[in-house]
Amino acid sequence: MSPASRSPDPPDTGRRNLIDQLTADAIASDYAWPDPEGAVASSSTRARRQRLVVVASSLALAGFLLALGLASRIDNEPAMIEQRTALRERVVTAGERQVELAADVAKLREKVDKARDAALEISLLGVRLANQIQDLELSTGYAAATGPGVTVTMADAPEKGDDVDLELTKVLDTDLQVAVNGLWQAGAEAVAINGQRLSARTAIRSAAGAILVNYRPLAPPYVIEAIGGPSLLGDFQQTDDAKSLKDVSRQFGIAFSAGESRRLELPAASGRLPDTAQVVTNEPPDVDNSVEPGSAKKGDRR
Amino acid sequence: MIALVGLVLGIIIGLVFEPVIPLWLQPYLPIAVIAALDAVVGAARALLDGVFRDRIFVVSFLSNVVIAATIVWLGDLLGVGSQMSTGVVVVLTMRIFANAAAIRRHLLKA
Repeated sequence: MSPASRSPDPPDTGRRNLIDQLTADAIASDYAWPDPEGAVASSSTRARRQRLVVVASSLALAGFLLALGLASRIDNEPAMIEQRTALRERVVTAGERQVELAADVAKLREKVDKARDAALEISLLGVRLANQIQDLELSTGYAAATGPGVTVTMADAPEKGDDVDLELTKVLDTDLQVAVNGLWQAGAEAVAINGQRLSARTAIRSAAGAILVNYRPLAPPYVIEAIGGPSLLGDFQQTDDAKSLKDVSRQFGIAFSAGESRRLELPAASGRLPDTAQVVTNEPPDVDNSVEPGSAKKGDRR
Repeated sequence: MIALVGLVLGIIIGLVFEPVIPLWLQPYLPIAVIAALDAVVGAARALLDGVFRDRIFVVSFLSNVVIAATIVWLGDLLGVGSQMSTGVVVVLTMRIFANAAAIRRHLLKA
């Protein structure tokens, strides 16, 4: 197909559709009016050679541009990797700093506890308050705890094929919630998931595909440790929560097992203490008032 | 022959030296590359059609590269840069295809 034969008269252009026009004009626009000069000049060998060099250098420029475009694409990649590693480093250092600070907090808490105990030791009332504080610290997750208990382990189902819905074969935040509720119901006194102690302000929720506890993402397998009396395991397995988890495990292949542990060590909760909530005090604290004096003291210590 | 050597030489120079492209030029480089490609394919077709003129090739090559980049730059100023580059790429790609089809007919008679 020669463009000259296809579009004999330019006025025709207006009626053709865009694609036809482009196809016909692809060369026409550049070479439709070949300059007579070029044909004439080509008779001289020297001029021809000169022109050939010009064409060659133009083509060299074209090749250079092409290579430049390719190289810049390739070059972008290391820069991106660099950025990513830099970001990762920042995340890691921030994480390390957080761990350091958490250790500092734990040390300072210990100091405060010792000072408080020393101050309370001197009177009978003080000793009783100290006992109450200890109890409350355990149940609120403020203090690290140790004792016998139950370990519940949950893990995602092994990936089989793509016919199974991936979301359903994973342990969900609601599964952990159910397990923890069952443990509380069975009489657990302190619970931690993968080393994250649960306190009154702990939420178990999922965000961006990860399960967050105390705002820290956890990786499977999920190990729930609960300190409680000798009947904790039996009671837990009697709860509806444990039964429904067994059903889920059977249906979706999620690993779910519970066993007794002789000695568990749960860390203190890393979550924050109440900032705004205050204990209601109607009367001056006295010895018989079981909860309020301790809580008031706790509030004061912030 | 010399022309082909020039093309290969240009690619080698570009790949070996890997010059750093200024950041402000980077959005226009791909467009310039497509325009250059279009000019080269157009020249190849003209050569086979017997209407190739070196002067036209050099002038159209340089002007097309500059115009394509300028259009996109102008589009960037008007806030339609990405649409402009899409438009330029579509037009140039269609030309490349049309010219490539003509070359194919010449070489393979199909």
